[in-house]
Amino acid sequence: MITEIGNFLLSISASLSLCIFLSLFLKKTISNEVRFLFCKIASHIITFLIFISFVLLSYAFLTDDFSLRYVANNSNVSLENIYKFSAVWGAHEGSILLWVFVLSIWSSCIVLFSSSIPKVIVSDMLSIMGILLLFFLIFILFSSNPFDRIFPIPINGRDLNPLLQDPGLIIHPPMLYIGYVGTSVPFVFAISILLNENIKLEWISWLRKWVISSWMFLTIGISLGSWWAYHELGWGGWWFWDPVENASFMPWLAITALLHSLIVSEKRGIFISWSILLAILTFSLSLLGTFLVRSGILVSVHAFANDPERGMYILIFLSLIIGLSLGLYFIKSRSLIYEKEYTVSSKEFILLLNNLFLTITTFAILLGTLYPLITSSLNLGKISVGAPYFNFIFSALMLPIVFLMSPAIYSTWKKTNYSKLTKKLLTFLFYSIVITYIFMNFYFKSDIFIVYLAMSLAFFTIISSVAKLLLILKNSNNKKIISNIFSIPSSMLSNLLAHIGIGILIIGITLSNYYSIQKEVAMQQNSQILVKDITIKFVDVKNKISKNYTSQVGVFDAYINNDYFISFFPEKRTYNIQKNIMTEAAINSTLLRDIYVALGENLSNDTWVVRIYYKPYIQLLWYGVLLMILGGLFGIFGRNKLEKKLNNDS
Amino acid sequence: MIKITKKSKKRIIRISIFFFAISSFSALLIYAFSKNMVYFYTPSQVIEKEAPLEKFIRVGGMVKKGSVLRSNNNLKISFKIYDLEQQINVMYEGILPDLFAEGQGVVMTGRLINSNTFIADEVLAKHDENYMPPEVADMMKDANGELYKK
Repeated sequence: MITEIGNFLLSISASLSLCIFLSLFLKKTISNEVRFLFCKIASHIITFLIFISFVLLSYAFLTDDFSLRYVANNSNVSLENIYKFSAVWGAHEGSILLWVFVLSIWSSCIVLFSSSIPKVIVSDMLSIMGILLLFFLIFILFSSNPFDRIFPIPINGRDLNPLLQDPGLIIHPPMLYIGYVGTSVPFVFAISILLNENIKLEWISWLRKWVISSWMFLTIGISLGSWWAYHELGWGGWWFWDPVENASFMPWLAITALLHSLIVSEKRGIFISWSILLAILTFSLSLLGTFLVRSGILVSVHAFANDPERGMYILIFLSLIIGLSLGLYFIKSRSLIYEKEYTVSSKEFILLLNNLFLTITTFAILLGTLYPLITSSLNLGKISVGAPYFNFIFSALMLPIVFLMSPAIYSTWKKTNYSKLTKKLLTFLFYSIVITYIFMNFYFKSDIFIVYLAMSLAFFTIISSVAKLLLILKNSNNKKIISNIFSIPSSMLSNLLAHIGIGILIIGITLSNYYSIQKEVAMQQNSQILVKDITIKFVDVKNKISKNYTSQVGVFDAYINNDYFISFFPEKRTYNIQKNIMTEAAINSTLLRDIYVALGENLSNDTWVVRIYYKPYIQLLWYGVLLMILGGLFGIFGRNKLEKKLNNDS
Repeated sequence: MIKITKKSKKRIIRISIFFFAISSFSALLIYAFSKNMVYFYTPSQVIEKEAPLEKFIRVGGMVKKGSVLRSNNNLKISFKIYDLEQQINVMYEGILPDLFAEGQGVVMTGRLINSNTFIADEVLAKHDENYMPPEVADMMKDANGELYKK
């Protein structure tokens, strides 16, 4: 039954999507009101139908319905319920269903939160959404159908990939997808603007919230992935410049650029055409990411299917979308150019530089990711581009961006009075260098130049942002501090929080990268090892049997100055069904450091290879990301002046 | 004589700054790119001296059964990898990925010290026992495209 209902619901959704798209061509014949009403209702119905099919699939997983091939391949009776549920998006078919589901939710959100935008623009946006939905629904129905049957029906399923049986991975894909797919909103807006050859600055202010939402979810998704890799892969790293990671990072960089160029467009009415182009490129990068991850041309944890047909289908759609929208852009974008001058000494110029650097960084990562794929598919030799390339390019291009953050915060639109500004900024820079010097010299006793540079710039951003925050608090009339905090314009608060977050993030990355202590040793039971000021003693290895895996659990006691303070229980798991071996590291975190213990291989009876890391300040990385997300929340839910004006007018 | 107005002078300066920025970025990019391209070689190519010595490269093959020798008290390990025609020695010190085993395909990064000994810095970790690195899968195919098994 589930198969029939699921296919029926998806087919209806596909036909409705087609109708919404076709209504674009009836613009002249039917009235705006009627068309808007139709698009609105149809979009909601599609969302509802896809939601039901999603619920059906979840139901099939929870009730162990192995008559569905997808369930049989990715679940098992002994799997815990929570993982049965997350297995819905644990492999190719289900994850594409999740993709479409998220896309339909975004289109429903456009309907719900667009009262300030003219109906004709919204209808056009929904029509473009319709064609995107149609494509992915056809893709599901004809080549990635999670409702396909299997015969004979197996008694038990083949289990979920053990790597995915982790709490961090339950919400990583949905978050990432909400962000990924969210880039479709600026895209359909851009296309709709180009079709109508009309734009108002208030609309840009409206669009910015959607861009911030998508940016925020991408940030959450990417950082959850990193957090998972750090805890689960057993190598102590959190970023590997793996092509799949790059696939999610490129849209992030592009949408970050878009976020900044939209500010200029909104406030000054310039860079509009550039913003439109960026919106198209950001969504194209999202689709490219989907293609790279889902086509199977990359081999990684994320690539479930090695089916060239599927990859071909996405590739054709990708080229169509990019080709058609860029064509439209070059024909129509001239009508959107506002002739306005800007000077070098203005905020808009600094944001222009920000965009320049972010775009080049995106391009550099794109080159490093695609080049090996292109050469190998053209038989020009097997090449790989190593992490050193990405590290070098990324730091070389990021440092100027970070340097520009403080001037950007203090400069003003049109023309900045630099004599006053320079003095202030130099003072901040001086303080940050002094702090860095004291901190590095006495604490780490180190003299690596790049570390000094990165730390100074990070402190520079933090100090400037905090000082700006204090300045606003001091200048507001209200005496009570708490109500003062609420009186800060939310866009300013969001901006400052996110940038302080970046500063803290950079400190965490730099210190944990350069001052980690790594020990990989063969340890006998009852032997001990000194790491920094901590003595770690290898006590025992015990066997543990769980529902769907057996594991060997190491017991390590840690002492500081001969005082016991904590035990570590790293695990080596063997999953029963797929026979995969997984390393579960044991980590003890404080703000100042992480201690990371993982079991390697068993050399002889009581001798094990043990991996012990001491990572200073790595927690700052996660705190920095949290601040960025908080900044995003303020950006989405805070109201700014233009919007208030817009609401008062209407 | 061509009269250069203030406005066009400004424009010329702006355009030249733009070109300067773009070309220096491209130079940076090309430099970093060419320095970090890592080439992949098969054991046959290594034996036939097609692979450079003392350079950072990738090498892959199947781990020969019975060739893995490890020390009991440190992390030194040596083994042989082979393709359809040749085999080479590999030396490594460190932790092996969970699924490293004899008879499995591996890909490694490191350098050659002579035409049949590879010093590995990193043995790439993969997490699926059915998984075969694509480079290794390609070289283990015979003329008919069938996967060759020893």
